[in-house]
Amino acid sequence: MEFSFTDEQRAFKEQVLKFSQKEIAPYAEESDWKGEFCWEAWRKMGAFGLLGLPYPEEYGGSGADVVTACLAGEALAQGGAEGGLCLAWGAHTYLCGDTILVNGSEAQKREYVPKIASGEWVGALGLTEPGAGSDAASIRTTAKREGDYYLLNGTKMFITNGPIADVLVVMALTDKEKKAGGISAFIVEKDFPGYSVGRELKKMGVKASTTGELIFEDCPVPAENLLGKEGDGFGMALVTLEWDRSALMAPFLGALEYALEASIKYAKERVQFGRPIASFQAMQHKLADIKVTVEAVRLLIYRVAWLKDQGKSFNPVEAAAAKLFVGELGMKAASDAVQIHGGYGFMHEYPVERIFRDAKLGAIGGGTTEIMRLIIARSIFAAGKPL
Amino acid sequence: MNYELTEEQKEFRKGFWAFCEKEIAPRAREVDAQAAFSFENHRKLAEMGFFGMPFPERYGGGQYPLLTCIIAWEELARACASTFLSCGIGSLLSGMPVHLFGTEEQKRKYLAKLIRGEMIGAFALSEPHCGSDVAALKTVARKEGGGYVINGKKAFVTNGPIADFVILFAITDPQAAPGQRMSAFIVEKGMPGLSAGPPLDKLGARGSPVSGLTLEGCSVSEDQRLGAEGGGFLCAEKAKEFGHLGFAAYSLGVGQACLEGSVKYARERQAFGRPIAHFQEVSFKVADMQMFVDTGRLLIYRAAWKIDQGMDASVDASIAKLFISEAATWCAVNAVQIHGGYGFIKGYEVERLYRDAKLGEIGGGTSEMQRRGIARSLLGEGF
Repeated sequence: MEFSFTDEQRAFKEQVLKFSQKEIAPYAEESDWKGEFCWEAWRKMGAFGLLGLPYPEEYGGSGADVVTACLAGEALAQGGAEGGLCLAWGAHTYLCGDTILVNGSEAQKREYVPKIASGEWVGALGLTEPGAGSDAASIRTTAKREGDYYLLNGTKMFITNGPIADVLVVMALTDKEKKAGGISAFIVEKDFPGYSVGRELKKMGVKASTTGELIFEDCPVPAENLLGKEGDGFGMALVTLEWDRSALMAPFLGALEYALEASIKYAKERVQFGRPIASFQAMQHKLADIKVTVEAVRLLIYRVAWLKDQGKSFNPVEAAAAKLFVGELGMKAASDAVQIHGGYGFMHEYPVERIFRDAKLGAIGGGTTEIMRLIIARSIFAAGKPL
Repeated sequence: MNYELTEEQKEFRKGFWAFCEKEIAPRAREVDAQAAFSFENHRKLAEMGFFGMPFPERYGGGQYPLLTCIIAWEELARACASTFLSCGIGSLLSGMPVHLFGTEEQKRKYLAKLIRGEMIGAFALSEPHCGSDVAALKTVARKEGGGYVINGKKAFVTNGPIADFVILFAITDPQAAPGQRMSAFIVEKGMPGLSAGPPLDKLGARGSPVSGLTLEGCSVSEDQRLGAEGGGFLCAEKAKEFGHLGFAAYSLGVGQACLEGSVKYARERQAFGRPIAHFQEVSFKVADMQMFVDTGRLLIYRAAWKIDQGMDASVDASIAKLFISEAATWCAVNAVQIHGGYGFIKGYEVERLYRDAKLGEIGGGTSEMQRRGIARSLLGEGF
């Protein structure tokens, strides 16, 4: 066992941290307040190389490993970037771009991945539907083969980047009888007829990411835009869910580190009853608890990242453990950070306020804590003995 | 970065657990019910080289990395928390000070015998009026002749009633700076002026005997001083860190036992026509236990790894102890709950685990002190 990052990884994280503090964090307060996607920040992230970070150089990326990509996500948030922007990065780079990279034909990769890597095109994943969230296998969007096209019909819901996406990986049923085994993945471009964006949804947190409803009405998708083979879709979806529970969790870790640092600073400066509140045990108790959560989350997220770098693309139990921990204890930590700030923690101008709102998503998006518990429990009761 | 144990470590865990399951676990209930230290367990652990694991080969030890020791500690605690407390933490806290600060003579006389199982050790720092507040120590070692005369009382000494030697802390210079006032000594059973109180009747870890110690004009030669005069505080600090890891392993073992007991019971117990494992109220508690134990294990491993690398791990060890001890109590409470009425009955393992778990939050540094230390590391001096 070894719990170190390489010098290279640490140096890169430091770079991203400084970049975030200087170039991205200044947009956070307003973009969260307005609930608007920040294109300037996005373009800067593209220029810095973050949007295609894990892709091979031949497709416009830097070939970064998963640990390094997680460090980037962590540093982005730790530097003060708004949570929705970080989520947009994760959905774009991993849920969409990586799915095409791993499963796409050479033609598909060349067509789409470089544009995603640069950020010229924004990517999204269309899996969840109004009637299918936790029960992802029960999606009802259909893809009916007609000549050289598949006609897509259905609606998608809660799609991160949906309203601004140029390219989407969309899951649809090519064979209803086979249920999950009949789900296929398609690359859809926003200009395809019959595709439209429904309403953009206003959220509690991660507000600067755009989240929307997508509508497919006899949307013709060229047959060559099928990703992989018919029936491969659900397997791909499971891998995207694992990204939800690892790389996309890294910014939540960064946000907690940001909140901890802010809380330490505040507690040292704020004086009540003649002394800094940092001298009161009730405050020290919360600071220590936030620190414990930060260190635990760090170990759990990077375990998933490490496993993936070892070539194990599928680690449902470890990913569930990371997500469950972030979801439950991350929320408590964010809440403690607000509490340390007292009344100021309730005010929008203090970042811990939005970090608290953002934290709730950790328990829901990309897999609810209930489903995480279900996954862990199933693995325990199915096997001969616990891990 | 590497989250995988080596094949060697995995094999070691398997083998050591097989030993614990066969030799230690069957006696756990009796040890608790009778509140009696098992000399049989002690002998078996000595025979298989357990006591020497972290110590140099020169004294009969195995010189294993701390991470490997933690693997063994967890399994022993899982089999019998009481035995781990006395034989694991007890030998660690009495052996480490000698290993780190002892003279060659002291190592031969005490460490080597501890390792062979010929001597049982104890660590006496706390006093009736001071546990967390070490600076309030009152036991005094007055210089006299060529040695010292020690007067005072110690409290909550694990192995107090059965120890052959005790690492004992006393004030040697009340006028010195706070970090220099105290010295460490090795006192032996049978020394005039040293007596152990009766074994205390405890809530949990009942198979690990604990008592007070009274020192009345206990005379020791200078050879019995451990480390430099005034070096007691440093010795206690070093021991404290090992204590954190030891108690973290204690709690990890208890938590793991709670998890396994709950899984077994939930699979077998039927209600409303199906195994109760089927119900989310039960299975979700089990999933949380798994999450806590799994995460706690990573935290302890990281602390141990850092120490093995020669890095400072005082905050990591504190974090590990704090987290896993509170998690273990949670696991134990919920393990009893999963067992329903049976969880309240003696003879069901979880009833004992519920009582054993609580100590993790107290012994070797309370959770309050852990939070204080972690907060101080974040805030800096002056808070």
